Amino acid sequence: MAGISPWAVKTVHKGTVSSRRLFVIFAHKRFLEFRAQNVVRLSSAPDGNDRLHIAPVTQNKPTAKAVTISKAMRAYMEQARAYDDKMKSEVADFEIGKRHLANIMGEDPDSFTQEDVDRAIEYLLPSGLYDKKARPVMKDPYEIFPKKKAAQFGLDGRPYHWMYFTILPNYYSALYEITWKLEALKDLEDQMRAENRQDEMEGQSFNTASSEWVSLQALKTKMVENIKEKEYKHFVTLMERLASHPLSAREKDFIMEWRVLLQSEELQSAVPEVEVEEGGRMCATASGTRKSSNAIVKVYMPGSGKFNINGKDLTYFSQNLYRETLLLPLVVSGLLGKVDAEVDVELGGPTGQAGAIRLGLSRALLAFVEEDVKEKMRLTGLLTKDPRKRERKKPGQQGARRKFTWKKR
Amino acid sequence: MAGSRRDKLGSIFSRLTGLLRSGAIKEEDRPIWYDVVKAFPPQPRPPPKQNIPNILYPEDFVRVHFYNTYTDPGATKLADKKTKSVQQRFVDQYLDLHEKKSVPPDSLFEETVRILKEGGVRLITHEEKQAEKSQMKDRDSERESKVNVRQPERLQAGDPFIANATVVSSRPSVKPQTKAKPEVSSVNIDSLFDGSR
Amino acid sequence: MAASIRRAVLKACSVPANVSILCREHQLTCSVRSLSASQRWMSRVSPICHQQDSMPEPTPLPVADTREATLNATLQHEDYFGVKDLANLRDLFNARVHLGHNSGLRHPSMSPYIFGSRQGCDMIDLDQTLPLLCQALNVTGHVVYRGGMLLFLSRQTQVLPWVERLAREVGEYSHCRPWRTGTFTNASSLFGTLPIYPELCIFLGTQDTVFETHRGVIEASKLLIPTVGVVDTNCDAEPITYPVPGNDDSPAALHFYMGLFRSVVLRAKARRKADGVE
Repeated sequence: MAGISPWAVKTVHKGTVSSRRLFVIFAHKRFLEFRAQNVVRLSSAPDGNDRLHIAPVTQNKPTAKAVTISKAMRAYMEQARAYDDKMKSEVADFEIGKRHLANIMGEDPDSFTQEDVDRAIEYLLPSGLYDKKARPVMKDPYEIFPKKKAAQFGLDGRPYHWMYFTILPNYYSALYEITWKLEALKDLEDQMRAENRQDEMEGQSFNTASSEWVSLQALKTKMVENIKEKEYKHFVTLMERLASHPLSAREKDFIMEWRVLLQSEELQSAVPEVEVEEGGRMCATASGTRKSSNAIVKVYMPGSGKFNINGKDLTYFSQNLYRETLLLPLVVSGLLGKVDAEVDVELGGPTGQAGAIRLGLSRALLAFVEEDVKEKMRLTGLLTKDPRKRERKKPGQQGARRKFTWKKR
Repeated sequence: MAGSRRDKLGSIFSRLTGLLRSGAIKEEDRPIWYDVVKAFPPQPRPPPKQNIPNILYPEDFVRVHFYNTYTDPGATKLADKKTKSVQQRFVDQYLDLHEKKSVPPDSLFEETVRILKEGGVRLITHEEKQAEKSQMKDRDSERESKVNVRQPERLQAGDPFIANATVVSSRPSVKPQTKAKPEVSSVNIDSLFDGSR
Repeated sequence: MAASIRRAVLKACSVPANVSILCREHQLTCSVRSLSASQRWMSRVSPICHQQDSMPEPTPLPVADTREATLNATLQHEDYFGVKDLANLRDLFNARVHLGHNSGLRHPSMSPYIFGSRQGCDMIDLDQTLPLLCQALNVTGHVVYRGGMLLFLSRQTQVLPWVERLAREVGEYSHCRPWRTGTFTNASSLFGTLPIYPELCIFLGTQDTVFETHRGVIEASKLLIPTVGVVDTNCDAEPITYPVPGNDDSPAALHFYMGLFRSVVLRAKARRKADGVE
């Protein structure tokens, strides 16, 4: 019985599939219901075909109805069984391995979590490999082995999806949906124009400013299909056409399914909490990094423009350039001389430290400024982290890029 | 699927029959369509036709005659089902007269033109149009010559005598053709009305 | 290329065909109309697309006790799904099925189905089309009745969403998208399972581009899948099992065919349920 699991249910969501992940959930749920109501038995008929005998549990007379299973389904069931068996043994291996690891580390095997595993692996097998993906890992097998697709067809061999034969049914049915939504909007527009209601169409267009289309990779994951660059472009073109329709705001939910918010939006939403100290003074804390320096900035409001950087005032930095750097957020937000700041900064040189303080200060100030000032700060680049790092020295070279002096003779 | 993937030999039915006969496919494994195609075999393909006839109607000759004589009366609005185009009115009138046999075949065309003109339709022959054009040209070139006198070639081109000469030479066969055409078309029309398509 | 597009525009936008209209008058007014406008117009006015379907009662079948016997009995019936009253000559003509392509584009295999050439444009002989269409519909009905899968194919972008919607609504399959070579012939590796094939492919146009035959026609023929295909005068009718000579460009004609197939599939499914052969 284990062999015919979720995928053996024919009645599930024929022709209405939007995502295969959903499918798996539904199929399994339906299967459990189905198994509760019916007695299912698999046997080999004399003609060599497998037959699935299904009989309702409630009936007194067992009138088994034989359903001939298509060849494709039989092959799929075998594959699925093999996959299940493999995963089962992998999971067993993983569990044993985890207990061994716990014993090696001298911890309790029963309360050994995945974080403990990761820490243990990092300790026992230290790796200097640059790419994190290349370092040794020990994870649940379901996270490591690729997911197996659920069957896309029923016991009788009829595919569930009406675009099954296109190979990319989810992708093409999305295109189909876009087309019909666009058609509906066009009809609506025609109707409104015919009734002379053009002014109602003002501001009904979808605002694309704060988000962008999902990437090819994300689309692939969402569709669970191998979509090529060309197909992705086609998808975006069609979506653009829908989004640029004067009435596209009506399809906002549908459009946003295929868009992601821009990073700045997320940053803006990360406003630090305001704490109220004794004496009614407000303060907000945020951290910033630049190169190898880290800074934790605590801003007090109201204040008189005092700075306390590792116990010193602005003279902590000897050069004016650095002083100016860290004062920029205050100038842009117009709070220069109105707040006090307490800064704890470590590592790196003056450039890195000044930059780290600037970022931390900008983030902390978000708690005290209006929306338009936030946007101004974002446009100035104060909220963007500078991702540049020191480039490593290469062997056979003097530095990161510089070569040794070379004379021909 | 069993069998070769040749797609140009025989039909799919004959190929599958062969597979069934040889036992490559068992009788109970035959596809669903097999019995259906067996019961309703495709009709045999007719042999290719060597000569495809041209489809012609009596009114075609009337139209050709009309267009050879008169200029295009302008665009037709296809969405407008109520008003008939000038060409269509002409053709209807012509065929109507032909049916009544009240007018001798030689003067059918002139008679139709007369009736249409009485009905207020403005018909312009190719000659009239050309003459109008050359007049316009003359007027333009006169204006130009007044503005800029230092263009001897243009002055020459604008000379009424030369302009007239070019008009004649550009359509030398217009007049004889229009005269010859009614006879030809009337002969054809009669033969067509006799019943042979 | 521009000329062929222009021809397509003219063909697609032509008014209910009155053969006496000269192309010269025709071009003046037709060419201004945009494709999309005509397409959307079609979707609303096409009466065939949304007609109410009522199936005539067939002559009763001889009493059969097994499923096999019932299936065989239906095959003895000449017109079990009543397809003969679905279409007549007048309907074909009104749907502009007779309009072919420029004579220069004529495919030799189509010459027997051509009635004549009008103003350099081939006209299809509807007297031949009608029985072929009825037979194709009948075969479609029987395949559906026996539980076969239909695959609707078309590469005509103007009607693509409609074809897909048709397939979805009648519970069958569609493939109107670019054909990946090997979809049938290399199915096991492209789909990752044992291959599944439809029992009948219905081509609402057998051309992929203006110059190429749809690759699916050849692949279906290789894998012994019968095909029903609307073949225009520039198409190769040879590899199609049940060719239906007719216009494959005008939305009016295509909506007409879609209406017919929709009716026959729904009828066959209803019969299948009523006769208990599921």
